[in-house]
Amino acid sequence: MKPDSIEKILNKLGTEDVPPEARQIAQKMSEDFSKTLIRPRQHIFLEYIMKSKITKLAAAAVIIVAVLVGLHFVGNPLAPTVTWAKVIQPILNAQTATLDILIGSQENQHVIHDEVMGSRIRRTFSDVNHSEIIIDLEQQKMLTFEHATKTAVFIELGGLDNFKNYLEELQDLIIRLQDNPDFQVEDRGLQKIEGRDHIVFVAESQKETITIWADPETALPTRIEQKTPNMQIVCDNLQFDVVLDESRFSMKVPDDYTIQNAGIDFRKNNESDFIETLRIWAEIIEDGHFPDSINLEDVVKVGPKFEQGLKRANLTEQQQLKVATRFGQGLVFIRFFKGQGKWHWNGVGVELGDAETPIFWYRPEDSETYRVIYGDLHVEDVAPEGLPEPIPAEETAEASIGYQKWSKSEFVGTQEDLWYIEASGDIGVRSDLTLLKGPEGTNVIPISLPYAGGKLTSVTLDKVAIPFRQMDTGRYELELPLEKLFAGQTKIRCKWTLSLDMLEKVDKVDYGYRTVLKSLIPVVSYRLRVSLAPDSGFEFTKDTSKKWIVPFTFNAPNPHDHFGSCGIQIRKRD
Amino acid sequence: MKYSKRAEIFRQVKADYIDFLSSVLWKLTGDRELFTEAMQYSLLGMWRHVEKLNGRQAGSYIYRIALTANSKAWRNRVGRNSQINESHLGVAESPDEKVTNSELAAKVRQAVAQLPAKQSKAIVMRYFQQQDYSDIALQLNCTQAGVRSHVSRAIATLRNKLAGLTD
Repeated sequence: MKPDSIEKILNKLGTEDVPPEARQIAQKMSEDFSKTLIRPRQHIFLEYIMKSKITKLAAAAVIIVAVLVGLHFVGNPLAPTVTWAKVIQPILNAQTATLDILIGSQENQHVIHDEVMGSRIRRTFSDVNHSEIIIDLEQQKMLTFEHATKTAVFIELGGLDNFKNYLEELQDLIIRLQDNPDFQVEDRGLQKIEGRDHIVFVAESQKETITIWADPETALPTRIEQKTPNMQIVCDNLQFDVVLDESRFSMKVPDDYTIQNAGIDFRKNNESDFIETLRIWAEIIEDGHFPDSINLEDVVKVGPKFEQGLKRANLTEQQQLKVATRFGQGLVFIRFFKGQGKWHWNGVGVELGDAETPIFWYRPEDSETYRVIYGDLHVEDVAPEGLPEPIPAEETAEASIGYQKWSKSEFVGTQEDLWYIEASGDIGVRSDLTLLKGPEGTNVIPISLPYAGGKLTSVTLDKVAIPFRQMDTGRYELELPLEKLFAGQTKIRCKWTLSLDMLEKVDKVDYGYRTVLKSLIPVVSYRLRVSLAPDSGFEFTKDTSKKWIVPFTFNAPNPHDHFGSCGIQIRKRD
Repeated sequence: MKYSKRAEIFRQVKADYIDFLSSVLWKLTGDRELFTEAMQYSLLGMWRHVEKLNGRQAGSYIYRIALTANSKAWRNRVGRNSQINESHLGVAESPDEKVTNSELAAKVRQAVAQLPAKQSKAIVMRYFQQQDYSDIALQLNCTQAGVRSHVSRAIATLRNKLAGLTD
């Protein structure tokens, strides 16, 4: 090509007349698009229609969603039982089991019923008629039968990590939990459920609480409640070694059924798919705004409303299925969440398109910043201190190396304070201590509040109250259960109060207050966060839109308990 | 931003820029099907980023939206690997054979769609809108020398991509 050829071609293209037809097309499309603004849910379909690749679609929308929801429990529904050896033994030996799974609160009437035979599960749903799912964990396949339309949908489960057969999963969990020093079981004694006595055990780890009800005579668990940061699951009506016909788990599709692929790829677990799900949720299901919550129980309940939304949108069946598949694909992101800690939802009442309001945030694995999704579904990387709400201490705490004895006479740890300023002028303080080292032979730890007028109101060690006594003004002694410390339970939460009047009021415009900086015990790291109650009448001077600030942090190899003072720049709202 | 406010801004921006979009996208695509697709993406892009179109920077964002839409439309046609789809454009199998003018134009358009953002913007402003360097510099917020640099680098990239197609 000659050196000037490209420029000649470009010049020629640039001077060509635009045909009237192009302008007409543009005008028509523009008008059509404007018409859809009346109903925001339309846009998603325009986008789908633009995507030329057609996914092979199969079952009705509700089934696709239900399959995805159900998958969360694959290989895991009985797992919580493993914390008590006597209780779990029958489970390990069981060849078959039946159980009901309830997601969320007790009022939730959406029940998933499972029949389990080795690595195979037959699953039905209380609110989805004429449908059943057969899961074969060994084959990593799932087959959904929709009898009303004589459709069978195959779903490959190969994309899911650590997919094991049912009993292997249970055995692994037993070993893992028994080896975890953080895991502890509390015997709550006998309790009545529906008039019958049950032994109740509560087991807690950092990330979950499990309550098990078992028959006091047979030691068979009948009910298991599992709470994790983002959901609550109840397994009820558990029965073991029931007689089940193997034909109920058959994956043979009747000859007159149509077989299709679901179009959901479990290897795809990314944020952009999740964002599309949020868009569909707002546009189709909630008519332009985001739901109050997006927990598993909400997904379970969403089926009928989703169907109505799809009908409202006047879509063809093919388009409905496309939307449903996209919705289901994005749910993989939260159902198999791989970020650090938990995800946070803040979409209540937010309209789709609101670029100012964060609706969802999470911390990707190995990331120091958070991904924040806004109401217009754009995403920003945000440092922890820039988040809309403080992250709970347990989520930000580094993994502890455990508690150790040493030759010195003082206890040493780390401390994170959250000061919450209320309308009354009272400040509620939550000091989260993580103990690292302590003297041998004593379980009494002295603490000293930064202000003599402060008052200690409660102390807990991993959520269990521990005794304390006042020694002097602002000085207390806590009685620590050493065995728990050495078992790895080192997080102490002290709640105490002080008054804004105790702080030094700084006589400068918009400066606010000055506080002494002092930790309860010597620490190698200290962090102070300050938050304002919405009705406190105060706002932060530098950025009035902020809900909380971090005015001071300290890190050093040697422990300190005095750090000087710092300003808390707040002012009265106009 | 409230939905009604977004809709209002969208309608205004659309009225202001529909002729511009028609002209630029046609010149970038030269094909009814591609043009329709790019226009659709542009409208969607405008709606999604409507908050940014409510001010003096609107023109600049519209450029970005149009160029992104054009790239997407071309990408859909030729695939994500950005390889030139010989069969679709009907380019002669033998490298010795000359391609027709319209095929060559399609090749050039496709290559423009693959240019980096600033370079494609400079090419569009310079050749498709016949603007002079001083105007482009003002819009790109750089010096005239900077614009010349973008244009010449774009031309060099296009030349490399299209080398061997024709004499």
